[in-house]
Amino acid sequence: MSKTPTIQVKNLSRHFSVHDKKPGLKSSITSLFHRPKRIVKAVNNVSFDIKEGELVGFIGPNGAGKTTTLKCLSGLLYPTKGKISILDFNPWQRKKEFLRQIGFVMGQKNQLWWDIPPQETFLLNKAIYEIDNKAYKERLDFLIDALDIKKEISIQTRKLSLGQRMKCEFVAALIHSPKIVFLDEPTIGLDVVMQDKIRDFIRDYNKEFKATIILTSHYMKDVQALCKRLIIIDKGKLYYDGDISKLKNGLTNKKLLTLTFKEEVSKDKLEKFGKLTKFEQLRATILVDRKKTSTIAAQALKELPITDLNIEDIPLEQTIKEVFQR
Amino acid sequence: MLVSFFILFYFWAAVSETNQGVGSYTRPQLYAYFIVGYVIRTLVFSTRTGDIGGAITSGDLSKHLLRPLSVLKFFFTRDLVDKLFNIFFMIFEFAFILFILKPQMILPSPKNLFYFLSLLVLAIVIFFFYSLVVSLATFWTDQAWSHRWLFGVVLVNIFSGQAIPLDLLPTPIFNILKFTPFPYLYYYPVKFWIDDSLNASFLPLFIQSLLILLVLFFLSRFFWKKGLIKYQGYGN
Ligand SMILES: Nc1ncnc2c1ncn2[C@@H]1O[C@H](COP(=O)(O)OP(=O)(O)OP(=O)(O)O)[C@@H](O)[C@H]1O
Ligand SMILES: [Mg+2]
Repeated sequence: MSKTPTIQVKNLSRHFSVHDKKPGLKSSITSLFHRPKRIVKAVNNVSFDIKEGELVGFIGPNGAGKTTTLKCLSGLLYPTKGKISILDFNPWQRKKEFLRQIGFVMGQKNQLWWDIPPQETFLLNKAIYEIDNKAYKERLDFLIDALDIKKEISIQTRKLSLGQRMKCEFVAALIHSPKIVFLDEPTIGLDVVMQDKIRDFIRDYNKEFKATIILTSHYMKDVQALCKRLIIIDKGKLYYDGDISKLKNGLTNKKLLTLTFKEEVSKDKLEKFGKLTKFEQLRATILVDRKKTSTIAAQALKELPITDLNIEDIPLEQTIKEVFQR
Repeated sequence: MLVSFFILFYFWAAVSETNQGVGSYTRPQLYAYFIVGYVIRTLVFSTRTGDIGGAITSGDLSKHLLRPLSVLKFFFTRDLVDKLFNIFFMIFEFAFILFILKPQMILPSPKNLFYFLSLLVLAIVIFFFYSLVVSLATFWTDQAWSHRWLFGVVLVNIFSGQAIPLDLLPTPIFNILKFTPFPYLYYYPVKFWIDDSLNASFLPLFIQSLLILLVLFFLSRFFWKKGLIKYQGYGN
C-alpha cells in the first residue's frame, strides 16, 4: 500500500446558481428580462483523504451534497473552488489514464444502453476500455458469478427488473477493473434480499481487488455492514470524518432499555427512569445514561411487573438522526 | 423524408409547368435541383448531433464523459456509420424516385460531378459541426429544444436552398447568406450538378466552404471547453 492518499480532496466547493421562477404568466414574462439568481452551495469547503483499498461510507440527508461531491471526484463537474487529486490526476482534465481507473455506479441513472442486452454494452465497454480478450473473459466470469446474472445479460435492458438491471450496471461499471469506485446509492429501491447480495458483492470486491470505494446510501445497514470509516456531510459541509464505532460511542453516551410488562404500567412511573422514546401498552423503551444502565435496570426490575428486559446500543440510524436535528 | 420530398417536387413541377421553368431554371434543371437535393438531404442533414443537446439537459452526457473516449469523436464516428447505412438505403429510394417520376434528369459532366462530390463531402462535415455548435449552446440555455429547433431546423430549411433555389431570392438576402454556412450545405453542391455556370468560381467557393468549416470547428471546440465548465450534470 502506498503512503500517499489515493484520493485527496482539499477545500472543495461546488456552487450552483439557480433561477427562482414563480408560477404564472406574469412572472414568466418578467423573468425574460430579469431573472433573480440564487447561489446554492451544494458542496462547501470539504476536505478529506482516502487511502488505497479503503471502503468509506459517505452519508448525509437528502440534498447534503453527496452526489455533487462524487460528480466532482469523477470529473463530471467543474469544482467552483478547491483541489482534487486522485491517483495524482486532476479529475477535471478527464485524462484517459484517469478515466480508465475509475468506475461510477449511479443507483438512479442507468449507464447501460437501453435498447440492447447488457451483454452488448459490456462488449462495447471492452472495446472502449481496450480490454484484451483473456482479461475480459476472466473479469466477466467473475462478475457474472459473483452477482449471479447468467441469464439476465442477454435480455434487452429495458425489459429487466430494477434489481436485475442494477446488477448489470455493476458489471458495466466494473468490467475494466477500476481501482477507484464511486457507488451512489447502489441499493436504492432494491428488496432486502437483493440489498444483502449487493452488499456481499461490494465487500468481496473491495477485498479481492483492493479497490478504493466510496459508498453513499440512505440505508444505514449498508454502511454499517461495509464501512469502517464514515464521512458525514450536511448542507454541503463536512460534519464528521472518522471511525463508525467512535461515532456510535462518542456522540451518544446513552443506551436503550426496552421493557416488556405483564400488565399496563402508567407513563409517570416510567419517566423517572429516563427519557421515554417509545410507549405502547405492554412495552416501553427508555433512553438511559450508559454508565447508569445496570443500576437503572435493577431498579426497574424491582419496581415494575417486568417479563422481559433488553439493553442495546442506540442504532446508528438514530444517532445520525439526532446529530442532524441538533 | 420521402413524403416531404414528393410535396416539394410536385409543387415545383406545377410551378414550372405553366411557364416552362422558373427564373433562370429550366424544368429539367429544377427537377435535378430537387432530386439531387434529395441525396444531399439524406447524407448531409441526417445527423444525430442533436442528441448531445438532449444529453446536456437530461444529464445523460455524464455517461459519455465517464468513458475514456473523446465524446465528440464518438458522435462523429457514429454519424459516419449512420451515413454509410443511409447511402445503402438511399440507392434504393433513389431508384424508386427515378422510376416513379421518370424525370428528364440532367447528369453532370465528370468534372462537375467531381465539383459536386467535393462540396458534398464538405457540406457533410460543415453540417456536423454546425449542429454541434447549435447543440452545445444548450449548455447556456435552460430551454431544451427551442433554439435547436430554430437554428437546427427552421433556418437551415429556409436558407440552405432546400425549398427554393437561393438565387431566386432577392439578391441582397442571397449576398448575406453567402457569409453563413447555409448555402454551402445544399444550394452550392447541387448547383454544380445541374449546370456549369459557376464552374469558374469553384475554387473560391471551395475555400469559402473550408473557411466556414474551420470557424465552426474552432467554435465547437471553444463551446465544448467552456460548456463543460457550465455543465450541471442534472439527474440523480
Ligand atoms: N444542477 C444543479 N443545479 C442546481 N442545484 C443543484 C444541482 N445539482 C444539485 N443541486 C443542489 O445541490 C444540493 C446537493 O445536491 P446533491 O444531489 O449533491 O445531494 P445528495 O446529497 O446527493 O442528496 P440525495 O441524498 O437526495 O441524493 C441540493 O440542494 C440540490 O438541490
Ligand atoms: Mg444523491
